[in-house]
Amino acid sequence: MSKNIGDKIFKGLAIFASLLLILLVISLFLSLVIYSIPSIKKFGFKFLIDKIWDPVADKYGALPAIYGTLVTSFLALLIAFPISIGIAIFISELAPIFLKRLFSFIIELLGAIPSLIYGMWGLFVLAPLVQLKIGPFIQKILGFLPFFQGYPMGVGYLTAGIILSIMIIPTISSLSREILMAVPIDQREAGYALGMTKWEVISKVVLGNARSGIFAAGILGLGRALGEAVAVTMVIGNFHDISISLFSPGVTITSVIINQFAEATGELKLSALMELALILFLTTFLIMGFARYYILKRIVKE
Amino acid sequence: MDKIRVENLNAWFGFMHVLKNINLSFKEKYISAIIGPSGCGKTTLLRCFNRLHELSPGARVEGKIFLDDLNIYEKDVDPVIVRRRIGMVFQRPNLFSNMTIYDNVIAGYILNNKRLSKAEKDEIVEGSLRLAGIWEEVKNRLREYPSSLSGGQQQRVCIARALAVQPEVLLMDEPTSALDPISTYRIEETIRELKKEVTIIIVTHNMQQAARVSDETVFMYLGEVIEIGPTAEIFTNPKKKLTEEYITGKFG
Ligand SMILES: Nc1ncnc2c1ncn2[C@@H]1O[C@H](COP(=O)(O)OP(=O)(O)O)[C@@H](O)[C@H]1O
Ligand SMILES: [Mg+2]
Repeated sequence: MSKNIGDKIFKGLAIFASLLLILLVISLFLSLVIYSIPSIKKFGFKFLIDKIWDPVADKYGALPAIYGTLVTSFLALLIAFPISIGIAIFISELAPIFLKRLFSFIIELLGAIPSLIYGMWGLFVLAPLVQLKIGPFIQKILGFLPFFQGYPMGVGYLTAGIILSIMIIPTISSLSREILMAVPIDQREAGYALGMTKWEVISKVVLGNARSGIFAAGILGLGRALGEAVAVTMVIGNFHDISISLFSPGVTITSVIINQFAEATGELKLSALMELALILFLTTFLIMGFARYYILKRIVKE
Repeated sequence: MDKIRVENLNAWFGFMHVLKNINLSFKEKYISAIIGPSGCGKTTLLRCFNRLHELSPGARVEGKIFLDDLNIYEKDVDPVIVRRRIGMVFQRPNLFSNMTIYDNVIAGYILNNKRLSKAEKDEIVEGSLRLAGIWEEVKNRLREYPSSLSGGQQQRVCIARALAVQPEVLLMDEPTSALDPISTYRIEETIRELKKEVTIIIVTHNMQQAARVSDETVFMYLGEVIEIGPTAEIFTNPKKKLTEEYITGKFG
């Protein structure tokens, strides 16, 4: 009897906690919407496709920020994903036990470094490197592509993308490592017993088993890149425009918010910043939702 | 004609001496059963035949195992080549969960034969599934994933997958211990059929099963081979006292 009451209390608490969480998300979303209303009323859909950001004339457009966020985040994912998979495979499949531990520790360490420190390193070490070495090198080889036109300034999309990739490598690789290690031993042994080489077991069996999990790890990394603010703000260049060249400076949603929030005096400007936040919220939400849906579909199929 | 000959084989897990000076041989196209109480080293012995034992952490092997005239523990022998000649079916079905039934069956074959036409693949898949006695049940479900099959069906697809590479020897480690009586019966039928094609070594701790399917029986106890002989003799007229006690159920 008393056990039953205990059960009920626990169940009630658990339900209450979950409701609280849902309430929190909804209220966050609603406050963003409410604060965005003046901007939405004034600019409407044009907010999404306008390039102008002019506090003096009180006219605001989000396109450069959206563009910059997407370019830097996907660039980061492009760089970080293969490297992270490589690290995860090395740690889970190839390394002797002491290297496994060492590398896992280093990865955790990298993940725990505050983003401000990445930003400082990016500004003082990586940016000059991109300007003087990496940029010119890429230009020599791939200079015919539109992505690598103009003179590398050091700060810009490329530098931000690289910094972001370094920041999301710990996320993606430690998750992937765990997913790879969770592939059951009997699946690997089935491969070896069939006469697969170690590499065939890794590529066909282990990665095959882990692919939806690894995909999810990539999406989580992307989510982290989309929302990263401090480090990106320090190396993106803060230039309100759009350029196809990755050497150019630009802005991201987070960098605009960070740079302008403190001095957002007018109601309309504050509202425009809130709408930017709302866009970031929705983008992240959609991408996560898509990943969830995709993974579930995969799992159901198998 | 001996297909497999074991000479002075010893195996360890760390410091635990699991197989002690094993000497044995298995005749070609015979079905041989390995029996003995659990923990006596049957699985370990089987996993020495296809060099799977050495993959376990801390595991070690000494001695010789000849497959025909090849000592598979010779320094320059590639275990991958050995495993392509000796197939294995495990205690629990372990089909690749990320591949369809079709892809599972063909998985081993395409390792050495890269360029195969669709028709050739179809033929191998059908042939192997027929040999394993499961074709009729899965022929319309080849594009499904293994989890949609019952345990017994999965185990027979595992047999098909092992047979698809046309191994010379098939190792089976208690292949029916996780299955119901009907699936067990059908797999035993399949095993008797397969005798025409391949040399079979089957581990079981079900003595009736050993008596039903095998030509020869090996009795193991505490990491040693106690007795080996024709199945009928082992079960009716064992030479060693220990064997008799085990057969009659005095321990086990
Ligand atoms: N992976 C392992 N690590 C350490 N010891 C093991 C491992 N697998 C089996 N053993 C030990 O080796 C001995 C033989 O095991 P096994 O060959 O599985 O016996 P059987 O198949 O006859 O039941 C047992 O004492 C068992 O506890
Ligand atoms: Mg066993």
